[in-house]
Amino acid sequence: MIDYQPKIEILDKKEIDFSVVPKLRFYGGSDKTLKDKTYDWVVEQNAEWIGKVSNSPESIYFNVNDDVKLKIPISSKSLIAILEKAKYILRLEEDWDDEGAMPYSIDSWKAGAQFLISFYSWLHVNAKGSLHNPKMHHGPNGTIDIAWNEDNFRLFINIDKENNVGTFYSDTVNNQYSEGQFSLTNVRYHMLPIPYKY
Amino acid sequence: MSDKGNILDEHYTFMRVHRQNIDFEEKDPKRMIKLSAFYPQGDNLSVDWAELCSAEETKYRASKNPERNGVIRMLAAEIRTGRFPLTLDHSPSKNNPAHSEIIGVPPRRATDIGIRAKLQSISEWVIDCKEHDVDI
Repeated sequence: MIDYQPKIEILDKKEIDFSVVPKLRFYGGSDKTLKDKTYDWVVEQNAEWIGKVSNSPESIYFNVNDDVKLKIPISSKSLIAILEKAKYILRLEEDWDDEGAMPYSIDSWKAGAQFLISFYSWLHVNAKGSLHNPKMHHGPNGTIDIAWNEDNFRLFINIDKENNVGTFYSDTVNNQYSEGQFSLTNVRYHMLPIPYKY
Repeated sequence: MSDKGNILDEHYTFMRVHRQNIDFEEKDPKRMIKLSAFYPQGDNLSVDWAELCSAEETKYRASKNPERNGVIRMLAAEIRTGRFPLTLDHSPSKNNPAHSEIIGVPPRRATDIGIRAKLQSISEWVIDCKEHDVDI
């Protein structure tokens, strides 16, 4: 089995413009998978771009606050809208819950945003079909929660910058569920539930 | 002082939810409760045993700005069963005879998101909360 790396690393370097969505073709994979019921992990090595891949002349810059500007390698209005709404987290002042809660650090917010952008980028390349959009909320003890909370599908991811840990839980109305954790510095996105619209 | 075992499965518990832990853009009553609402202030999650107090009493037990809180209820049986069974103990305090605690079983990390997702799914609103302060 090859060591699979998230596509965001590639996208960052090539600055792919997602307004022109590139697609990947895999050789020797799908038919063999169906017939032999064994997954050919080597297919990843044979992937090539078949869509038009253009160099994006400009990435999107998102102003988090007066001091912090976020460079986003993909053009996604929904992603920008999610991040825009999530700015409220940084406006939570000390004692925001009337029980002495502390404010959220910009580093914690950035870790949540970075994960979300990377996961979004990976999904845009690897997921086929419509996807639910999440919300980014404040979580426990200075952490960030990202929530896909739909009628028939839920995926909650907690991003804990201080401990470099992400945890997730997902379930469906059909009683299927999964949970786990990952290191923020080495995420295997293909091991996370995909927020498809079923 | 502990008085375990008196909370029957058919009994409810009340819990305050601060408006900062409510997603007012969300229309679904359960989904509007952010998972951050279920983060315990101490070791365990404090609730009130509904047999010993009203939802109004739970709301106005807030030390500051009770008007900024709503109240939800959770059924004891649902707390104790399901994918993440939790312990519910009556643990009255001097100022609050209804005080009870939801304890994670087995011990899990405070940020365990599955437990918080479970609690969101078994919650029902009893007292709504306004997004902004209302001048009277």
